[in-house]
Amino acid sequence: MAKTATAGAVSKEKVRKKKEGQFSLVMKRLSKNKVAMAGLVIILLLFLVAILSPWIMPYAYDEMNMAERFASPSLKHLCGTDEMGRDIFSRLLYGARASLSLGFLATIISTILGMIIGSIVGYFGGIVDTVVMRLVDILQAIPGILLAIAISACLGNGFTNTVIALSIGGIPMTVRLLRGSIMGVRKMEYLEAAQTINCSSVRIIIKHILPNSISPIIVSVTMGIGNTILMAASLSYIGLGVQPPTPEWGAMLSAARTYMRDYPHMVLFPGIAIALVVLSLNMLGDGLRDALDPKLKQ
Amino acid sequence: MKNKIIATFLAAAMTASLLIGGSMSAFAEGSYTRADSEGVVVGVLADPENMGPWSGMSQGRIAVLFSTYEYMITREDGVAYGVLAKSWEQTDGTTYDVEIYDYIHDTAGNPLTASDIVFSFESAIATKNYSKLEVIESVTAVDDYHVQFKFNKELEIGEFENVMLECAIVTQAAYEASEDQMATTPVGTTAYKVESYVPGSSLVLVDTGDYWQTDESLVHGTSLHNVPKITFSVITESSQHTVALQTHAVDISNGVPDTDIDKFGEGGEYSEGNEVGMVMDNLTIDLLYNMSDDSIFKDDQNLRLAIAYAIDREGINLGTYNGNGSAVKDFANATYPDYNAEWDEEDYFDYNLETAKEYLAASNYDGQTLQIQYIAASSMDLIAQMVQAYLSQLGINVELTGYDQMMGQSMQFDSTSYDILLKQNGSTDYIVNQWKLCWDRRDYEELTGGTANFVQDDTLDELMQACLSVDTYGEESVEAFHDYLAEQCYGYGLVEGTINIVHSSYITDVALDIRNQILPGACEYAE
Amino acid sequence: MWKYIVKRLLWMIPVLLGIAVVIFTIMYFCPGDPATAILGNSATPAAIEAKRIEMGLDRPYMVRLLEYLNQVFLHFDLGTSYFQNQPVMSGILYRMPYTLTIAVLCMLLQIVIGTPLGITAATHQNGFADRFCMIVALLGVSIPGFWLAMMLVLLFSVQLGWLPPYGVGGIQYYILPCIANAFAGIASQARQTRSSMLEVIRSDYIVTARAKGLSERDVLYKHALPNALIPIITVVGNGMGMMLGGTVVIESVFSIPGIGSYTTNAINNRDYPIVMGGVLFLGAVFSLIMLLVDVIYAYVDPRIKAQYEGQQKSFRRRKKANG
Repeated sequence: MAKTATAGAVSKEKVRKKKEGQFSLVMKRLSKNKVAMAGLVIILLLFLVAILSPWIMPYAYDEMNMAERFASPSLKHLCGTDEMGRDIFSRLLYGARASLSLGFLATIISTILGMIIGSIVGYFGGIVDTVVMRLVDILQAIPGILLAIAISACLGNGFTNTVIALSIGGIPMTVRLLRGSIMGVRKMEYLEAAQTINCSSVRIIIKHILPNSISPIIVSVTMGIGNTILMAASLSYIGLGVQPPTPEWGAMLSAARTYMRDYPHMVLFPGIAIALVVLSLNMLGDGLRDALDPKLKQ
Repeated sequence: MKNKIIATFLAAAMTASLLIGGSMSAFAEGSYTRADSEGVVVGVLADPENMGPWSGMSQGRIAVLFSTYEYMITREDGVAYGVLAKSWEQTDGTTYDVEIYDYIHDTAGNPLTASDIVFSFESAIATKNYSKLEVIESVTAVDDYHVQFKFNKELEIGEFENVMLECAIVTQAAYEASEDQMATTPVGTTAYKVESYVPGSSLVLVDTGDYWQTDESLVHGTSLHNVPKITFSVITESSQHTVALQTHAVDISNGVPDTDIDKFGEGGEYSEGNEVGMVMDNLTIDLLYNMSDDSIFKDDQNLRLAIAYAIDREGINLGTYNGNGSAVKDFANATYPDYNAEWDEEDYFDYNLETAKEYLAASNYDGQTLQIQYIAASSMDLIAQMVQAYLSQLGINVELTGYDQMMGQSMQFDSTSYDILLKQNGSTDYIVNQWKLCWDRRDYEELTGGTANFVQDDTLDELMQACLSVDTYGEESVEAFHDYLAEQCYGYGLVEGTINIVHSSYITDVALDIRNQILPGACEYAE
Repeated sequence: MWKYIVKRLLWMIPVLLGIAVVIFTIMYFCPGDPATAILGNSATPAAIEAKRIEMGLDRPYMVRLLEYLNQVFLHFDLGTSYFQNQPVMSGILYRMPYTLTIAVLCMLLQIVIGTPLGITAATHQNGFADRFCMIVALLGVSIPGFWLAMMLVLLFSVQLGWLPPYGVGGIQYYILPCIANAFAGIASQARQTRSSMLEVIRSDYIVTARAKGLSERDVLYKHALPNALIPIITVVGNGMGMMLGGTVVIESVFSIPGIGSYTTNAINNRDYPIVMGGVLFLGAVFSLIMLLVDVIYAYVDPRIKAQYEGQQKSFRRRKKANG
């Protein structure tokens, strides 16, 4: 018990200190972390590419050229061409739009919903906890990929439908994660202290509980975006997901699998694109976690 | 630091994948490698799921159907031969008499008589699983070996044969003895019975050595039993079929992707011990225009023609089937016996962007985006994307909507859901019966007010009926329909793919059934 | 504690009811129907309508839902597949061993490899071991399972001829599917472990423990690890749930007749009894696993255990737990 008490006392002090300019503090910490900054730069670059892609891609993403099918990477086609002679580099550039927005939207939607539910449940406990958690249990007990497949089959292919299908399954995970960590901290003394000085519930949740429980969420979001992009690839494998010819990376990878023995460049570059996103998100996520961590000493 | 290490890793992964992808030829050894010394192993793409004689159709089921059950007749190259039926004749407009052999027995030893035929047909009709059997008014046993079929209308061309080919025949005794309606333990009258079935994985059939038809001159393809043991091995991922053949884990498969076929052919990387047989698919990919009242195509033949001329069907063949398929010259393809070879020489919307542009200029198209609907599958996705690309060359914007099988089937009768429909169609007998699947207004009127794609054209209906009626069916009526449809261009055929059979050299001759499924019992084997 | 477990088990009933309602509703609104699937695509609309009526698919939503719930929850019958003509329960039980084998083997791989990787990374923060472990983890999370699976087949089945490329049978058939399936799990386990461990290691009581002069080993395994376990267990629990239904793609690549492919095929065929039966079954198994996770939570963290039990009792236990 003694250990926890010490932790609580120190945290209490930190909470007070941190009041002034928390955001700038986090940013200052983050900017010192080179790896995280590299991740951030790559992500921003990818976003820039996604936005600018119609102007910077050398060919139209759906421009077919049957004379140059399966061309290997060359100066003319930096990443080669696919089974219809389309320029893979251009498709990757344009596909950044679909893939990034798919991954981000689905994950952010499910995380925000999950956080709202999770913090309410974790903080109040009791009857709210029981009721909401049973609803969450229902959703979580349905395996994510099967739920996504069923919803996709129901709604049909397409970007919005795929975002919906992918985001619903992610909610319970966030709820449980957040609830788990909140339950870990909610009986800590600094919260009791906050309650005794009449802090409102919302204020307690936002100011005290979330910052202390946020790091697993950040880790899960960074992984979640990558996972979502990979899950979209799985959906494509089953024949669902984003509607062609939209060059979503997962769909490109899945469509190219028949050719992977003969034309490895067709799976390689979409694979690298996905890996690059996931990688930089993780680098950024790690850095953010450190920067956001209220317990971290300066 | 971290970045550098990761970059090195990625590079290593790349190199590894290039190496694995690039050097695959080392493994094949020996030229008569057999997967199983006692029999043949057939790679199939889907589990039979339910082998009951009258259950619903599925991809897995049709692969094993003819090896487990016999039918009244069989059809080879468009000619019908009796199997259980010794002879049959039409006694009046709607009545047919069939005589069956008097020494038939199933693999459990039960003798099969006319009452079993009646039982089989009545059970099949009762399931409502077979729309082709709906024309049957009654089936009665005249005596032990004579059955009378009464129909509720005069039958159309090929229809009697199709009825006879639709219903698997089993004995009532065997069926009633089965605990699961033969779902996992089919007992038919073929030479083969089930030795073991691992759902989702493999089905093993063995020759009982007691096949009822002892007169070999009367044993036709579907009933042959040239191999003592048949193993159907379920392999759901098509690229795994390539691996299976390459490693000689299976002897024959029709699931190898088009792009891998060349490697099994002469001089190919995995040609050692393997051969390729390729036949054209009886299924055709067709393009249908939405002809309903509020459709842009309804009164705009120029737009229909513009689109038809703008699509390079040879290009689609190259992109989708690696050039192995073919651009078709009719709404159906050349695999049917009543296909007119002269059509091959005709200009059937042969790719011509200039012509297309002229038609487009004369049309009422004013820049709106058209919706193309199709049932998503890897080849259909490719075709749809290529159609889209060709139309964008013409200046027509197109959006694609790919539905899964079930959704696509229910959406195709919704006149607001599409402008252009891509559909795969095929029949197992005559070209007119493929046409019927879209253009026979009687089948679709209730839902669409016209043909399957909402066409209301009395001339078309008349020509269609002329093709289907036994009295008027012939070269002339077939020609007339073909010409009229091509002229009106309510829809037209794009391409057909191929059935790719890769097999071990151990199999010297490959036999296929009417649905182009492998007939392992009828293949010929090297000694 | 037992009272809590019994209570949770009872709570599973409404959860399963909820799952049944959710999945029934999704499938009900799915366009396309099993009658079409059974008849094939050359069937006429009239024939499809007749089949629909025979199958009872034309009846209203509430009637069918209540009938289904009655059948499942009062008669313990998952129904019969439209296509296979087999009881759904026997189909599930037949396929369960394949899916369970893969899931359990993958979980073991994930725990046995992922956790030490994460601990090593955390204790050597920013060192070489950390970077190496995290690169493995990053690769794991960024490679799509089916791609890895196919590469493994090319290498181990085609090139080297060591392992069977597909199918079911002895343990050798499970090696490739499990590696392909577990890679991502190992990675997320390692990451979660590292991140929880780091958080704990930085906390003040570990600093205190170190300051007291405890050995690094004691600090890590007696103080840090138990406190880092909660998020780790969460990941394991979730991973198990994902494994159960999430092997769809792997089952398809390796032609393994597991529950995932059983249910997915049924979704494509609109074979409602299988879809609902399969999801309900997986849901029940998953709920049990989650219960287990919560019980384990209680054992690793006395604070949570205290919440499960009355305040009075918890006080006693807490005292006991602390000495």
